[in-house]
Amino acid sequence: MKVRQVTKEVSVAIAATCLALSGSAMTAGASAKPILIGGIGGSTGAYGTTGVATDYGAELAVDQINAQGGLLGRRVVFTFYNDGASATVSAQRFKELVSNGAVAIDGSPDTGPVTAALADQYHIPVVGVDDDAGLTIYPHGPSKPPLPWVWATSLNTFAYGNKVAEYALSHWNSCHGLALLHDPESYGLGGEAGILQVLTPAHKKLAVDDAITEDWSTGATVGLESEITKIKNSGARCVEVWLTPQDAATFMETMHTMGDNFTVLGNDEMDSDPTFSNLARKAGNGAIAPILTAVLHPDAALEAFNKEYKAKFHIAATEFSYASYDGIMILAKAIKVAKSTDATAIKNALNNLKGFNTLMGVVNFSPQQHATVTTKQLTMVRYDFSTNSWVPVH
Amino acid sequence: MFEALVTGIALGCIYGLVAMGFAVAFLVTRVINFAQGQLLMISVMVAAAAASAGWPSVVAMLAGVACAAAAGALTYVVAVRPVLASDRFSFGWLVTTLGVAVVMENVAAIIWGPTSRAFPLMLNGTSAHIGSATVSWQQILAVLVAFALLSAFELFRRRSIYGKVSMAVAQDPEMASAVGANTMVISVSAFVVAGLLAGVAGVLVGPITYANPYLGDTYGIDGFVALMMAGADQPAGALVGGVLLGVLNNEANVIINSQASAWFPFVVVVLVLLVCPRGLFSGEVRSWLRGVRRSLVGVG
Repeated sequence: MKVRQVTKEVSVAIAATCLALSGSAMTAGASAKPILIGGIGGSTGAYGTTGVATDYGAELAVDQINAQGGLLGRRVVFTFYNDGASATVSAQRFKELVSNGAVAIDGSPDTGPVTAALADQYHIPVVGVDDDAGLTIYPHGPSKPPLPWVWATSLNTFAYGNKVAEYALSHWNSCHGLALLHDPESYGLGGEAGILQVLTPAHKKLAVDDAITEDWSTGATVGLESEITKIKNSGARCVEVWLTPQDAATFMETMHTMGDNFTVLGNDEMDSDPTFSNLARKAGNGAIAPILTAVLHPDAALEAFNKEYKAKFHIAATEFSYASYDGIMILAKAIKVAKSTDATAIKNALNNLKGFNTLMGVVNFSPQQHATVTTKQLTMVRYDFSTNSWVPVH
Repeated sequence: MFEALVTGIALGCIYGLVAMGFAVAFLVTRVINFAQGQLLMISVMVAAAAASAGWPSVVAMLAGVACAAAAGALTYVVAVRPVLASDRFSFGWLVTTLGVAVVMENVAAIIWGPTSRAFPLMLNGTSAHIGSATVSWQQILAVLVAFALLSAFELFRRRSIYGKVSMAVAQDPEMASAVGANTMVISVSAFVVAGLLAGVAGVLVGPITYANPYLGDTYGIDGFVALMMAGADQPAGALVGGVLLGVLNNEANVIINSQASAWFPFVVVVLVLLVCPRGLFSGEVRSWLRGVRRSLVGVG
C-alpha cells in the first residue's frame, strides 16, 4: 500500500514537472519568435546603389534595435530581396514576405508604385524608402489623401520639385524660363508635379516639358541632341534634368559639345551619391541640385551613423541609407507605442507619430501627412569640379 | 530634323556594327549569337577599367576590342560548337548563347559593380558643324569607322582566299571540310570577327553611354532588330539596317514626341517584315528591284 502511494505521488510529481516544463518551453518558444521586417529594392542595374543603400541602412537599424533587446522582447529579423527594378519580381517578393509573416516592408526605391499598391491590397504597412514618395504615395496629387498603408521616408519628389522651382522662380530674369526633361514614370511625374505646384500659382509656365524614355535597368543613355536644340529654340536658359544620373551626365556633356551653356538643375539622384559627378566630371561643373540640409551640415547623430555604416559596410552612406534607417526606426517606435505587431495597430500608431527625431530631421505623421521630407529640409547646392564636392548656392 | 538625321546616322552606325557582327556569325555558321550585345559590353567595361587603371586611352580601347574578340571565340567554343557537334540542325544554340549572355552580364556586374563607370572622353567633347547640325567628332568617327570596317570586310570576303573558303563553309560545311577546309577554325574566326565588330562599336559608343554591365541588352536588341530589317545573312545590309533604325529613332522623337523612339522604329520593322519577311536586302527584294529596273528600261 505504502509503495503504491509513493508510486502514485511520484507519478503525479513527474507529471506536474513535465507540464510545467512544457508550459515554459511553449512560453519561451512564443517569445523567441522573431519579428520579421521585409525589404525590397533594386541592388543591381542603373539604380543599384540605391537598393544597396536601402538594404544596408535598414540592416544597421535592425542591428541597433536588437542590441537594445529587440522589440516587445523579441529579436528583429530583416530580410532584403533584390527586385532588379522589376515590378514582377517586386510583387513576387512582397507576397513571399507577407506569407512568411513580415509585419512591415521597407521599399522599394525602384518599384515603389508596386509595393504601395500591394500595401493597400494586403493591409500591411510599407514604411521607409518607397520610390520617390510624391505621386507614389499621393497618387491623386499633393492636396489629396495619401495611400493609407504607406509612409515614406524617401526623398519626396514634391519637395525636391518645389525647391527647384523656387530657385528657378527667384532667378527667372536670368533663366528666361525653365525647361523640364523628366522620365515618364511616377518619379519624373512627381518632380513635374512638384515644380508646377510652385510655378502655376506664380503664373509661370514651363518652356519645354518633355518626357524622355529612359532605360533604367541597363543604365544606357539616350541621344539628347534634339532635346537640347528644342530647349535652345525655346529661349529658356535654365533646364531641370529629372533623369537618371547617367542621363544627366550625358546631357551636360552633350550640351557642352553642342556649344550651349544652360544652367542645369538636377534632382535628388544627382547629389545623393557620386555617380553623376564621376561620370560627368568637368562637364558637370556648375550643375545645381537640392540636397538635404542635414546631409550638408551633419549633426553628431549623423556623423556617428556615417562612421558606423562605413565600418560595417566599407562604403559611404548615402541619403537612401539614412532614409531606410529612419524608416525602420520609425516602424520600431510605432510597434513599441502600439505594443503590438498587428498591422492596424501599427498603422494607427504611425498616423499619430509626432515629434520623432530621425537622422534627417523631426518627423510628424498624420492621416494626411505620410511623407517625411519637406522643402524646409532642403538646400540648393552646386557641383564644384575643382574640389569634387557640392557647395551651397548663395 | 536635319540634326536628328545626322546624329541618327551616327547612332545607327553603332547599331549597324552590332548587326554586322550578328550577320557575319550567321553567314558562316548559321547561328545567331544572342550574346552579341554582351560582346559590346565586354569591350566597354574592359576599356573603362583599363583606362581608370592608368593605361593610355588608345591602349585601353584596343584591349577592350581584343577582349570582345576573344569572348566571341569563347562563345563559339562553349555555347555553339557542342550543340552543332551533337546535331548540326539543332537550335539549341538559341538557349546556350542566351545563357552565355546572362553569365557574361552577371560576371561583369560582379567584377565591376552594377553602376555606370566613366569612359575615356575620346572625341566626345569636340564638335563640328554639318549644315545646320552640330555633331560631335565622336559621332563622325563612328560613321567613318563603321563604313571603313564594312569596306574592309567586303573586300576580304570577296577577294581573299580565306573569305571564299568561309563562304564555302557557310554553303556546305561537310563538302568544304571534305576538300580540306578547317571548318572549326573558320567558324571560330567568324565569331572572332563578330566580337571585333561589337568591340569596335563598344569603344565608339562608350564615351556617350559610359560603361555599364547591363549595356549589352539594349544594343543587342537594337542590333538584332537592325539585322532582321536587313536580312540575317547580309552584313552590308545589316549596317544599313542599323543606320535606318538610328535615323528612325531620332526622327520619331522629333516628329512625333520625345518618347516615340521607344515604339515607332519597331512598328516600322514589323511592317518591313510583313512585306519582306527575309529582310530589305534579301534575294527576293533584289529580284523584285531588278524586275522593276528591267521594266523601266523596257518602257524607256
